[in-house]
Amino acid sequence: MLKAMYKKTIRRNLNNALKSTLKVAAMGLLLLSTNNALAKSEHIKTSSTVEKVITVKNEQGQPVKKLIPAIKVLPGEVVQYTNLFENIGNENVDNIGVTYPIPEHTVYVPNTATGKNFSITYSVDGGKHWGAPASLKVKGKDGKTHPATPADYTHIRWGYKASLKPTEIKRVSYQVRLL
Amino acid sequence: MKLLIPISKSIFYTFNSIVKVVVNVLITTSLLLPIFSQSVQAQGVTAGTVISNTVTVSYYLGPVTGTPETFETTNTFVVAEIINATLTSLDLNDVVVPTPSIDRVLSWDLTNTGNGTESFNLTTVDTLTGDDFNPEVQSIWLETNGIAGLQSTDTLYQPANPVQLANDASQRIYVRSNIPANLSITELGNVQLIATSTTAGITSSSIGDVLTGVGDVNTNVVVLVQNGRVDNTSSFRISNVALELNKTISSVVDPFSGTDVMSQSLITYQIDVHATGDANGTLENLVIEDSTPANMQFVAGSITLNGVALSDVADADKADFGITSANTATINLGDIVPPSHQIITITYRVN
Repeated sequence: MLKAMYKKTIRRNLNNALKSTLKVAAMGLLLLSTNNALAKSEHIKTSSTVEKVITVKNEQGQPVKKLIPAIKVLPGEVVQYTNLFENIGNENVDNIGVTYPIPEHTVYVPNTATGKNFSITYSVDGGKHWGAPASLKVKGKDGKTHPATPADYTHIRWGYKASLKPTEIKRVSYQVRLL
Repeated sequence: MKLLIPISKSIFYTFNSIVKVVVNVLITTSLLLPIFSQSVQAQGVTAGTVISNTVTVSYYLGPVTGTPETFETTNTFVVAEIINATLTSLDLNDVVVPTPSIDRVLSWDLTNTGNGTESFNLTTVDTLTGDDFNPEVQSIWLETNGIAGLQSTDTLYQPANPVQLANDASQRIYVRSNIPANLSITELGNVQLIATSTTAGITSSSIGDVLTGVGDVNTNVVVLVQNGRVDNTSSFRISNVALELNKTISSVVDPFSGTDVMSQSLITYQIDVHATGDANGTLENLVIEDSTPANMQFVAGSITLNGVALSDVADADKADFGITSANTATINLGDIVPPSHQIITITYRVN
């Protein structure tokens, strides 16, 4: 039952990925854009997606976040990176780590890194050291050390706390704002 | 920018004495602003920039020993172009002009507040309704010589060469107009400057529209200014502000307490400065220079303004002798709003 649900999830995501790609092509923006990227090893398959985050009103008139293809992204707008990974082998995979940089020209949107049953740590020095937000320090222009702010983050790392069983799929995501 | 000033001089004595009036800027303008306004803020990531992001996935099979298995995948997207601009008048007040007059200048700054390089066509409208007369626009000029204000060494705008601006960049624009004859004081004449993006299809667009593939590096364009067009209107106002100077000899004292002109006689000149006309015009930075007449010497400490003695050194009282200009009394009256009558006296000794 559970497996079936996961399979449905990945099929839906792949369908979405395909749709997005088609939309991008339809709008003539073939240039350099890879909104969806797939990769796999012998054991793990991942799908990394970038989508624009917009706010729309729901039927009750309340604002809700919605993800749309990252076709026209403007300074100040927010995009979400989502990584789905699936165990496509037939043995458990352990200590899975997913590392995303905060891309150049963007800044991390606080409290948007999510992932169920993951430990999430951050780096402010290009991935040399990792820690919880409160433990991170940066050197200011005055030469003194200050507590780091989300704008200082250079990388985020998700560590899956359990073993990923065959056919299991997990998801992590975070958002950045284009400067 | 100078107006012709009607000056009537009455010199009643045989000594030829010349008074010179320097009116740096006669009417209220803001031409003394820096030539290029500083951009207020960066307008964000440049259009066409590729935002690339590579995720690394690592794992172990079984116990954590040695190097983990890793692989990467990369997402990219391209920053779209915003088209946005502002057009700001540099004439904070109506520009006061006589009727008729020629080559009167209005000034604007056009700033590209989008995130890409954009070109703009410039046009003007001088037949607007809602004003009292139509100025006659002669030409559009671009500030290019680095000297504040319009000079002949700036560049005449040609419609074939739109103004190209990088993101955040500004261009100062001057519009030259002639003012018709026989207008009445306080009448207003408006001139509108229009800057329109040259991006294909933008003139029929609305705010928020997306134009596909016509932006920098073939990006999509998001229009943030209606029809890709900005405009701004400035006004000329007819004024009869004029400056009249009268220079007379107010007293002669000879060495024998008489009133004869001879060697060592003290001659006191009085310069009356009358500013007349409607109070809407301001005479700015009015400076009076009186050079020492031939065969005479300046009497130290003899300059007065409205009965108050002014020192000869360069200090806060705004008068000096021989410092601003050699062998010349200089009195800086500053800004004068009509009607105004100022009286200057200066005494010289006959050699």
